[in-house]
Amino acid sequence: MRVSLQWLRDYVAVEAAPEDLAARLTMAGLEVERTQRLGDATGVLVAQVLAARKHPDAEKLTIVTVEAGSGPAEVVCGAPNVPAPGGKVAWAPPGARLPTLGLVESRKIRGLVSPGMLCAEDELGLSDDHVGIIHLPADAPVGTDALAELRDVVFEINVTTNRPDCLGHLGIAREVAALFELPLRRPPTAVREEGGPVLDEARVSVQDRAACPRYIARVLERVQMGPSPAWVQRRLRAVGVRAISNVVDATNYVLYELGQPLHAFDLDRLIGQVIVVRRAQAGERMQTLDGVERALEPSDLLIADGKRAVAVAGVMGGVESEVSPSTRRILLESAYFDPYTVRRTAKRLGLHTEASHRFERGVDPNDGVASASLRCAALLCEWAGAKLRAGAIDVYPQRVPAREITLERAAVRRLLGVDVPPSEMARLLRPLGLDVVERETGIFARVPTFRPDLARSVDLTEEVARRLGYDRLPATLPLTARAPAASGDPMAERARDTLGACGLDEAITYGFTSLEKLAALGLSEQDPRARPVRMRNPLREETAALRTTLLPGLLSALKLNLDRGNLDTRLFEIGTVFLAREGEPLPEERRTAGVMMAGSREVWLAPAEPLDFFDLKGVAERLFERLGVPAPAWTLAPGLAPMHPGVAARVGSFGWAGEVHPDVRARFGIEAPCFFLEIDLESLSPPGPAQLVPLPRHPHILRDLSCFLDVAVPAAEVPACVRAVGEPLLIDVRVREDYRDPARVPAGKKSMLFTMTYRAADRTLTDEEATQAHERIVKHLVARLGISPR
Amino acid sequence: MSDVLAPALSELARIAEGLRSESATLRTELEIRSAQARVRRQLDEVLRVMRELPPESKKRLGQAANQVKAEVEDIVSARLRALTAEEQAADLARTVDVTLPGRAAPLGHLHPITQARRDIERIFGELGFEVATGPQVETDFHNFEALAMPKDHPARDMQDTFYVTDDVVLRTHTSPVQVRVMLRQPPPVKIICPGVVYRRDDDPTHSPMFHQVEGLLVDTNVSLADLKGVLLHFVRRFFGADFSVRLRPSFFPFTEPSAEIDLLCVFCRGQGCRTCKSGWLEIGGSGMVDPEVFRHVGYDKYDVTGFAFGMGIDRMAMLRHGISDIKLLFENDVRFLRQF
Repeated sequence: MRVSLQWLRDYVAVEAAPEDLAARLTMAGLEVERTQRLGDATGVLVAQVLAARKHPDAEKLTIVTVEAGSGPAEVVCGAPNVPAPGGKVAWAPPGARLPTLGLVESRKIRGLVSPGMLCAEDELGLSDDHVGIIHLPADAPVGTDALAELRDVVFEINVTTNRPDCLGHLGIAREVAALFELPLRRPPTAVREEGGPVLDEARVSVQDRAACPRYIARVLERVQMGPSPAWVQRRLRAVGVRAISNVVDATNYVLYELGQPLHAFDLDRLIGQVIVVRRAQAGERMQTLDGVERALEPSDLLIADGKRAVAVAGVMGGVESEVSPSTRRILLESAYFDPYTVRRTAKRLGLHTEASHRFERGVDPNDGVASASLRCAALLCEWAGAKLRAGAIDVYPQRVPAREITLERAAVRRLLGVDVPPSEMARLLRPLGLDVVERETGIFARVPTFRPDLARSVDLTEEVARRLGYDRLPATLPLTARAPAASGDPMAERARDTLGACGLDEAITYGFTSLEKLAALGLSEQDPRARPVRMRNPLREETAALRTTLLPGLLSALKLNLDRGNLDTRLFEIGTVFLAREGEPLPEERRTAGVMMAGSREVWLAPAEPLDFFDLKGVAERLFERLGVPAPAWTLAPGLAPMHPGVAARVGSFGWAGEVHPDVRARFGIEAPCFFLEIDLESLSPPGPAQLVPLPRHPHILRDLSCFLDVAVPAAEVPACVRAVGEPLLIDVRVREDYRDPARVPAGKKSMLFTMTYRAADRTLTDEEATQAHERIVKHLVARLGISPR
Repeated sequence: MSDVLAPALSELARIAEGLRSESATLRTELEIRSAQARVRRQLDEVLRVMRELPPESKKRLGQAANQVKAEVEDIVSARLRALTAEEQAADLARTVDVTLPGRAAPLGHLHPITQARRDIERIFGELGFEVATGPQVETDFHNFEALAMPKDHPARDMQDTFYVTDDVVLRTHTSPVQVRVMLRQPPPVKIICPGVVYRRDDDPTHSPMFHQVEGLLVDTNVSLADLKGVLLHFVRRFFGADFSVRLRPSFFPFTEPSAEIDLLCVFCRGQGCRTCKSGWLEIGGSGMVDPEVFRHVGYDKYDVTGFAFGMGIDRMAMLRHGISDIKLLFENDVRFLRQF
């Protein structure tokens, strides 16, 4: 909400510097987000136009002779609205300083030297208006500061949703008055009633009393439509509202003054001169003031006349009953509409208006609604020469009572951690309009209905704290009531540390994915990962669904890096994937580790070597080791959808890995080969503390086995077969070489080297024993796998 | 007699002399040892005449031979020593270009958000807060209703929400975790809940996904002063001992009283600058748990009070590391990641 300091001072004589005022308001919970100075110029004078003539060389320029007390001066002016002689303008002579243009100097314009300039609003920092130069009022004294009356400071205040009372200048003024201990001056509402009773001219029927607990109508006659006074227009502009006419401006003025929205109907355009407050009928339509035809629904509350809808209650008026230059009689509405009803309709129509903003938060059904009606009537009499008919139609069958709250001193101390005596509480709360009675153990308060946020003792406690100042509360450390249990996510943290130690950089990608990216993975339709949880209101295509795998996010991250020349990119991510569950409202969320690698592996002082599948597998092996997961089986999986059919593996029952299929990576715009691993961390359980295996006390003996074997036999089969022998002296078997040079290896075969480690637990092994054990194993391999030792 | 011994004696001397002059040319231990063996054979050859000599001459020749033998051993060991010294000298003359890059396995980096989160967990852990987690896809009840934000409540406007269905949302804050924990266990509760949250918001200063940490302490006598003390302790540990926090009145439906958490500006230290304007930077929201929330989770039957807070992990990481653009956090450019 924009607040004009000039306007504010109508109600509270605050003299503090704008910055101090802003700081105090902010610390009182009314956060000033921006302070804007209007008319922040110096040396600009009120000047009288003496004469004006066309510039000899320029069609659009005028030479204006002005007088500001120091003799006539001829100023070149480009505006189309130079007033006739006698009119008054704002002249910035050389030496004046303007907010955006800076120091003004004499300047040659089309051959003529112009001593400064005549100013438009934007040049003076009053508004963005640059239509023409400012016309000052006829009584402005020549030669004085032209901005004396125009200077203002506008605060943009972020009013929290619980404080509808602060959506008008008076409410802010009440806070300022309390902060600075100044009296609050309420705007006058005295108005003379003329003519017959209002009921002779209009009727109001409220059919939905829950949605409209109070409706006040007043009738004003002999209205003379026209512009509102210049100062009113200026104030409205300062708070961001366009001046329209004296009638509309008066309703807007009261809205920004008291926070109560009003509506002026052209009484003569209300069929039957009646107002009916009712719900919309199915299929009912009306055109709102913004010119849009609206389809209404039975949940919408309407203002209707004898025949049709004339306004969406609390949201926006209709075109049919709008005031116009020919309007003579006005029905002025001031009402309390149910916040939820207004909000539902405003939301459904996508119509967020100043009125709906206030009704949604709750206006004051008592004094607020009543005094706004009177105040606006008074302004219409003053600004539009209107005559107010006697009385008001006030449909208010059930008065909303003021809330009564008891606040115990002990409860305040317990919640705030500071003791506040009842007398102090009373002193703090009274300036806010609360009626406070001090008691021995606390206070009893009657809360005005313009404060719907104060309903319980805890709400009053906050009010005490707020008035006291949060900065005056002590800072204490609570005693720990509870010893923390083991917490956090040890598997995920261990995975992060390990993958970081493997030289990978941690990525965090969005939990979203686009359907297009998911489809680009080529998953089968049966794959649950191809059926993601979808957003009903995505922001962009990229947020259409929740990811079911980390692959698309990491592919996109890789793509970004490659595009930026980061050719060697090794990323990992520990994140959540989401799998829809049949018949369950919430999806399954699984913590998942993903690895994405592309580029090359550095070799010291030698050309780098391209990364391959085994760089990826090495990372996985390290990860499993650190996670305490027994080495899982890696099985070739040619059918793994997003992967290269020959370089893809299932990893145990909880992971998959491989080279990303060239088609898939092409769909992500990636040319370089890249390798991806995904591990479902939910399937793994954190290991207990490692248990010591005693160090061997006797030396071991190594024996190599070099052999040819069928290409089709996976390397892992050999160690598996070796172990199957159950040789007690065998400690370890390792794959050392896989050699396939066709010049030296028979077709269909590969040459492999294995190293076996033999050791006895209780003695130093002899060469002979090791050889015998080794021969038994080789014999077994020959028999079972058809190897031929070399 | 001396005539008989003379050729043998001079031969011995010649052999020793020969080895002495040869030794400088011997470059390896092997050469030295083979020269030594050859000399021994030559000496033996010379001494073969001893058998035919009279005892007196035999004695003289023997003495002379032993002297020569000792001399040979001296020459050999001196040469070996010299050789070792030469080798060491040669080794010490070796030099490497210390300016060449080192040979190292690549170093990985944890995301600055992870690092910030871990620090937060550690600092609150020291104060006795447990880490609790909850789902990112939440029911409307846990995310809004139980936090005193019924449907059509204006406060919902503060949090633009992604909807999966009418009743299922992407959590807009980590507060639903406190609801889940309180529904699960009786007081006291002392938790922090770090995690991913989503808002339907995408502009230069917002990201549709970001990270928050929620804190909740519920016990018999928890006060706003305690909240202030805990937050002050936290920012001093996280940002540095010369930092402070300020609580500023605000409104959240699920806390009463409510407060914004402002951190002394990391850029100007409270002087007021272009980033903060006021000398303070907002890092989160907080307050005393609203009785309405206690009612929703069945805590109204206990006589307890509590505080809750929510702070932006991303925001704190950005302030700590001088990152001004939130987009950098989620682009995953390795040139960015490798700086932390």
